This record gives sequence, C-alpha cells and structure tokens, in this order.
Amino acid sequence: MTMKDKVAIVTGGGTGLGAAVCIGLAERGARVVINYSRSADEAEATAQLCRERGAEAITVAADVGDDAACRNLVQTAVEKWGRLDVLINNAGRTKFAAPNDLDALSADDFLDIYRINVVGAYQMIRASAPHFRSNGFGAVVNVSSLGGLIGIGTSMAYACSKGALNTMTLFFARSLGPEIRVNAVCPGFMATRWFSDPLGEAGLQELIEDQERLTPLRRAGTPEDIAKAIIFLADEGSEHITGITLISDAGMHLGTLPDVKRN
Amino acid sequence: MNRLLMAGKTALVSGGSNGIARAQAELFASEGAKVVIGDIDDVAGEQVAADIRKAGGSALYVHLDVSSERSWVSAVATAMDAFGGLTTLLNTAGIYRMASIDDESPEGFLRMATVNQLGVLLGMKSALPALRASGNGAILNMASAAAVRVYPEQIAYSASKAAVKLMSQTAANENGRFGVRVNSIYPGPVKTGMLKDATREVLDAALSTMPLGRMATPEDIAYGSLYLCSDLAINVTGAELAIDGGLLTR
Repeated sequence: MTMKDKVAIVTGGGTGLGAAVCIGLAERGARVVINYSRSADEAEATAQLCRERGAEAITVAADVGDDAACRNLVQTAVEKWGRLDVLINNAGRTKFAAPNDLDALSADDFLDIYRINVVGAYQMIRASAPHFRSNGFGAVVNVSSLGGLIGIGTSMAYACSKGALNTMTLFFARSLGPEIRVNAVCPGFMATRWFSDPLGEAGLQELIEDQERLTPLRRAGTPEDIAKAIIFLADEGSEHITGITLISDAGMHLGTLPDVKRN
Repeated sequence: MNRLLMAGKTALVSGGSNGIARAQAELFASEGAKVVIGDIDDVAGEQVAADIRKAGGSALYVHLDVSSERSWVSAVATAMDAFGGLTTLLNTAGIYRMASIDDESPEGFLRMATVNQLGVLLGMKSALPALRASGNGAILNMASAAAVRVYPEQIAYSASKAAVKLMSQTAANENGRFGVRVNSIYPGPVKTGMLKDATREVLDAALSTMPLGRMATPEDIAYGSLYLCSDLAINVTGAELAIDGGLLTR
C-alpha cells in the first residue's frame, strides 16, 4: 500500500477521523490537502504531523456546502501540485436528536445536515472530476455511516443524509467509471469528539463500554480503524473496486447474539 | 509503513494450486505469512509452494479435498505441526458450471453444494479451534456476485454462493467474541480457469454493465483478501467486499 506522490484532498481533515486519514495518507507518501471550515489550528497541527512523517501537506479553508469554495479548494490543490488523485469526502455534520422525539428536528436542521453531508460531497466530486479524468484515473471515498444502511445514528436527519450519500456512491460509480472509482466506508462507531463534544467524556465512555459489551468483536472502533478502510479503498491495489459500501463496525450490523460457551 | 502486513501469521489456502487462491497464497507469502496450500491438484500445488520458497517465502503444500472432513483435519494438523499455529483460513476452492433449472440434476446440484458450501463449513469447523487459540484469527470465504444477483443458467452455483454469504456472517457473529473475524468477498468475472465453461454471451453481458468494463485479475481479489485478513481490518467482521468492477451497482 503505497500512495507515493499521490495528491489527496481530505475534507474536514483537521480533526478526528479526517486527521487520522491525513496522517495515514502521509505515512504512505501522499501529498495531503487538509480542508477545514472552522478548525484552523487543528488543521495546521495535523499538517505538522504529516510533515513529521516526511510528507508534504497544506491546509485550505472551505465550507463544502459552498460550491465556489469547493472549486477553490480543488483549484488550490491542482495549482500546488499539478494533479489530483484522491478525494476523501469526510466533512460531516449532525444534530443529536432522540429517535422518539419528533419535534427535535426542524426542516432547517435537515437542510443544514444535507447541505454538508450530501450536497457538499456532490460539489466536491463535481469540482474534482475533470482533474481525475485528465489523469485517466481517480479515487473518491465517501465517509458514510452504518446509519445510512440500517437507520440508526445520532439523528434521523443524519441517518437519512448518509443513506443519500450511499445512493450517491452507487450513482457516481456507474456514471464516472471507468476512470473514476467511487466507494463509501460505513463506520459503525468510533470514539471521537463527535460524541464527546455533545455528550461529554462520560457520555463517550458509556458508548465505548456499550460497544465493548454488545458488538460481535467486543470492541469499540477507533478513527485509525476507519482510516485504514478508507485508505484501502483509495489505494491503487483496489483498482477493481467501485460502488461499494464497506462496513467497519466490529460486526455491529450482524446484531448481538446471546452469550454461548465455547472452548 | 515498511512492516510486512502478514508478519507472524500462518494462512491455510484452499484451492491454492491455481487461480485466485494461488494469487492469495503468493501475495500473503510476500507479505510475510507462512502459507499452507491445500488442493487436489498435487503437482501444481507442490510447484506453487516451491515457487514461493524460491522467492524467499515460507510455504508447503498439503493434499486437501474440501468435501472431506478428515482431509481438512489433516491439513490443519499439518499447518500446526509445520508452523506452530494457524491464524488465517482462506476458503477459496470452488467449482463453477452453467446449468439452467431444466438442465440441472440432483447429482450436479449436490456436487456444487458439496464443494462450494459444505467445503466452507468443514474448513471453518476444522480450523476454528486453532484460529480461536491464536487470539487474533481471520477467515475469508469466497462468495460471488452471483450470491446476491440473478445471472442466467447458474442456479446451483448461485445457491451455493448465497449460502457462503450467510454462513460467513453467522460465523462472524458467533466467533467475534473469541477473537476470530470472518469476512467474504464477492468477485464478478475473474480471469481464471474456473470460467472456462462460461459462455461468451454471459461474460459479455456482465462486462457491458460493469462501470470499470474489464474482468478482474486474481491479483485484484488477492489484494482485497490481504486487507481483510491483515490487522488493517481489525474492526471489520461480517463484511461483504465486492471486487467486481462495479458489477453489483447494476
């Protein structure tokens, strides 16, 4: 798995899973464009971690919900390194809402989430596609969610947005092949500030313990786990893979079996 | 990132004398795995093992009839004796034959089920104690795009591969807590000898719908196998990985 001199854009690359992806790409020799919307300091810190691994990295501010900002982000990458090989649509948004509280989400909540998670991914792919075509190849990995496959997650609006992203993955895989591959990774759970910001450290710890008790692997996923799945799909070795949703969830989607004895 | 992905692991590969399984054995060995190649084609299998050793890898060949539980037990024991443990099982051996419902016979149907379906069960059953004992085991079963979509004139094959899909997920759910991950791969058409009986019409129909427009190489399948069997996929179990040029997007 080498990504030597490949140019990769990671949206929302400053923190959490995005940062883990940037560092993983840097370790494989890629040149990394770290996009952020608000986390400028974290993005610069992630860029520094990439450079310490011998890779080149830049940070670019852009709100992926804004089409002009997406085009500028892609243009910045191409002007810097003359090409674009990989796009990781990682930027995402949610609003926590209890599943049985139908008043917890407004129309604007849906539209705010869709603007980033669905329209943002679309706009980034649209801006990137001409550069992939001029290469003759390109790889897009959409960071989706198990919630988009089975209807779980932090809110209805979030799960629906990821269902839409999975559908977009299929649609683009067909329409952009054979030059461009488009795949999605569907994490079950991963321990990041996504949960600790709204729920506190104790709330995050509770979720981790649930995962360690209930998933088939008895394990709570990490950003590094998911980053490895993303990089696998972006890698040239996966050149025959397109249109898939790869689940990395410690087996959560299989359900929980009652305890049985086994030697 | 220079560390070999399969360092310290021992893999048993059914069907390893040729095709996808041979590519898996070669790639895993080049990534540091000790490899046991099981097959019924002893001459070709010995040659694959010798080639891997010549390239600096660790490999041995064992005669393995996947439809025989005794043969599986013996193959696992050989791996344990030679390499001191078993971490990885690749159930790749399989057969393919086209036949419509009207043309299929009870004998033909059972033959397909015996190799493709019972073979996977016996492999998992025989290897699981050793895989659990390793503390970090992985099984990879070879399903097919035909496990999840309808293609003409292969009712027995499709049924056998659909069984592999759910057997894999059952094994994943039952064994995750014991430190064994179980995943499955869904190839579309692959350039191997197995498809020699597929008609040109069936292959062309598939290729014309695939976004990537080409057949897979055995190496394409081996690469995804490496990801799923290495610790890169330590959080992945019960996954269904299509390596099909986008065939399943249709």
